[in-house]
Amino acid sequence: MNVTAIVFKGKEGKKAIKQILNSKPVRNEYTTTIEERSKSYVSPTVPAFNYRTK
Amino acid sequence: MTLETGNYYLEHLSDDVNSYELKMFRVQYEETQLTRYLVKIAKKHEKTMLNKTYLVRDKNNGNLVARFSLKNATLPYNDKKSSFLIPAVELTHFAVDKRYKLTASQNKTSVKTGEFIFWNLILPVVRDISEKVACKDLFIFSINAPKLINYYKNRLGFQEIENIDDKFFFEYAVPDYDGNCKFLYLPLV
Repeated sequence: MNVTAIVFKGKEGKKAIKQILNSKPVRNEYTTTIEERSKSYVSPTVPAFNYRTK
Repeated sequence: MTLETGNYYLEHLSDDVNSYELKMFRVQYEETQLTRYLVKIAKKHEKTMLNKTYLVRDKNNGNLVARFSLKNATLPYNDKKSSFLIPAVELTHFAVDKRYKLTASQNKTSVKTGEFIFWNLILPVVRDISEKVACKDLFIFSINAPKLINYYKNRLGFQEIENIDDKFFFEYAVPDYDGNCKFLYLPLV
């Protein structure tokens, strides 16, 4: 099974969905600096996987 | 849509992709169902448009670095008096190969591989969708591991519903990879 059908329900569901409706993107030390930090990202040096030879 | 950034580029899952290669993907958590999905189901879902799977590859050698899937979804509220839907996109089966986890420079603020991929490859796809089709949130059912949840919240900007236990407010058919998963959402605006 790979189903993720969600139904918000009841009073608590209404509170929850209002949280989602009223939320704004998170601004913290990581999310606000991601563009700058991404510039210094260095991909790990990983040798070519050899499964294509199988 | 072709997307590339740094050493990585995106590719759609297709019949041309070697199943053995998909099988050899090394997950970081015990996510055997994630691998099962990629190997056994993802191609079928791709053909029938039930889910769109992307592969992230290393430009230098074609290695499969990460994979993720995206699908349109809604977050519905329903009771006797009112009902409405929040349009959204669901991120599923996001995983980075173990061998790409470690980066050369590791300090608190260093960008992790998954973080880099999320902000520079996944979100641009989602934002492109949201420019064309109304879409307020991106959401995910995360494996319920505290370290992973914190990572999603701090590094990727996801949020969880506060002060309410999931089981009191919604019902859902759980993803195949974790019956105890955690609902997290990311507002796009």
